[in-house]
Amino acid sequence: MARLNEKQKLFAVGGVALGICAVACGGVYWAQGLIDEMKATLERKRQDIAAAEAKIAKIPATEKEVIILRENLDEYVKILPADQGLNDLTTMMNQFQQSSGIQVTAFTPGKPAKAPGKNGPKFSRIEYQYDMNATLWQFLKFINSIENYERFVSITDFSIQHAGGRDAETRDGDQVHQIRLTMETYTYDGKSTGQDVEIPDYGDKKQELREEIFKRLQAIRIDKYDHRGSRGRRDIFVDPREREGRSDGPPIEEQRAIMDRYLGELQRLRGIAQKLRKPDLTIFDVFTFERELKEGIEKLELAVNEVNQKQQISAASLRLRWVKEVCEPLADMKSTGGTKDPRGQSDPYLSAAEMQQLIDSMRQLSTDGDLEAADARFEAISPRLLVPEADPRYALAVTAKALHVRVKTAMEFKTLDLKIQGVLVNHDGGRSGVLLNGETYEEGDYINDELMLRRVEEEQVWFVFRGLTLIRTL
Amino acid sequence: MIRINLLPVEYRRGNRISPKLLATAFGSALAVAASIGWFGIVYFGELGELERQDVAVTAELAQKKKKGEYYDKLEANRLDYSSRVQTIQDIGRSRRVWSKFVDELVDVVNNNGDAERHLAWFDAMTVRTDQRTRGTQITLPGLVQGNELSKIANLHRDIEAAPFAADIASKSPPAGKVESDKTRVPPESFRFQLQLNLKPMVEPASTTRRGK
Repeated sequence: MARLNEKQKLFAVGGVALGICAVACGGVYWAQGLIDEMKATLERKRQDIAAAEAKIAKIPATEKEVIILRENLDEYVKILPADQGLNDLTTMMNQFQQSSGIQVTAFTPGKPAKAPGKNGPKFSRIEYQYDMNATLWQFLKFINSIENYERFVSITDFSIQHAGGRDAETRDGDQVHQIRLTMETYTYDGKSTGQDVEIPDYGDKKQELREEIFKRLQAIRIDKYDHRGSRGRRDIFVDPREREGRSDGPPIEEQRAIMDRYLGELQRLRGIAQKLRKPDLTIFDVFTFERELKEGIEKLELAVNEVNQKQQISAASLRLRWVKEVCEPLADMKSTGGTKDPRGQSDPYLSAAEMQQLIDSMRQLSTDGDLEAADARFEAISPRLLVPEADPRYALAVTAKALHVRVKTAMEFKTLDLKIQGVLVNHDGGRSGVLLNGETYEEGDYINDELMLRRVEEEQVWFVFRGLTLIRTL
Repeated sequence: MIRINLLPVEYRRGNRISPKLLATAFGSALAVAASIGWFGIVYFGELGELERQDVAVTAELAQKKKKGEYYDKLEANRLDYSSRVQTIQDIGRSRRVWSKFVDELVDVVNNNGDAERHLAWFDAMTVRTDQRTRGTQITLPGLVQGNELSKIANLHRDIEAAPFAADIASKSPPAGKVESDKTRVPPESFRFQLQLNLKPMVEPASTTRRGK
């Protein structure tokens, strides 16, 4: 340094300082580059976080959807399986044939369907052709079974050819037709992307979603129809006109008379059912009408079945009326029991007032000596007395049951073979006696294990039978 | 003349650090300190802070990515199942329930047993579904009892009012030819050919594409 002059020193100091500053600035520039890079990386990562958060926000809804879909997967697989399962399908078709009564003459596969293109539908068609002979109702039952089958089957084409003529084959009184039917079923071609993901707390979540799962299951179910048979309708592929010089079944006047008779009986039953709907009926009226109605329905049903078996209503103009005006209303009356309990069905027991009414009437009938009527009243409505212990009506039900036990005991006492042949009444305070079935008994004696002689009077003898005091008059 | 300087060395003017040099050194030191400080602030402050943020963000991303991947798998499952449901619905919409249709046709022809309005029957029924358009053609050659044309008209009226009428795209007009069969009572009847063209259950795929 000593050798440098001042100018040189100035340059040296300045130069070194400048160099350091330049390096520092370079360092800053380099660091700024790193900062920019880091900021960009951070921005990317933040965007990734935002994207992940957006996905996370969707997790609950997606989980819910996946659980619902997964729980219904079995149903989807049944409707649209991934494998052909043609053996099962054929077995099922055979069951439908047997239950409907059609007779198959050929069951042949159709043309193999072209494989769907890349953007085509995610299913393949499998076609089958059926040739059969069947009545219209058998055919309808058969196709209804196919259409209601759990696997999706679609009927695309069919033809019904009336096999007419006098000697046409009949089944159950209906003419048989030649039928050809083409149907399609499908297999699912969509490829699965992977395994089922494991959802945490699956069981609990499934439990929470059970209603939604059920609702969705109903929504996916394909259109079905409940075909209810001919219901008295005529086959639309048969000429309904009568043949010249030949008529089926009894003469039309007779058929009309049968029809009117049954309509009259049905009207009578309707009248009883009408009476049952009146609100001011006692429980005993209800019992009487219900029994009358039940017996009437059973009797009429037997008679209607007989008419149907004998095909006594064969006229095309009356058959539909017969079904609609007699058979169906009768079936309806039977299913509802014809009863319309004004109190509704929410309470299966008698009301407290009705129980009291039952007790009073049983007491009155017992006093009047009509034990059978008292017993019948109780038996008729006994199922409605099975109230639980916690119910306030329990005490009344117990009273009615106890009364019924007494009635039954009295009825059995009545049937005992007790021939009172003479009495000896001791007015001096000693024990009186009776000559019963050829033997003498004194007051307090047991005639058998259940029967004791309690008191003897001139006109009547008092017994104790199974703990109940009963009197036999002389 | 000789001048003798008796000042100690450090006080002699010629040996002192010049103020210029001192100022330069000071200025340089200041500049160096400032630039190194700046670098320090940028490198250890700003960049350091960003690196700390990066560590936190990376950790957060790793955690959220895991859940995101879970969502991706869920979504893949959902698409698998939904695709099957969609396919079922697509096929389901394309199907006509023929047991219902024929049952309703039987009701119309039976007309609750009212033979006065019309009493019709058919020789055959042919149903053909066009595979491309999914439209259906039904051919019903049949007869109506009697020789009154009005009965054919009544049958057509009842078909037009049937539950399946909304599905009919077009229908053959009422027409007929009198026939007589002496073996039947009454012998007269009107022969007709009823043709019903039903609308496709779903819009054909080709039409949809063209529409788009």
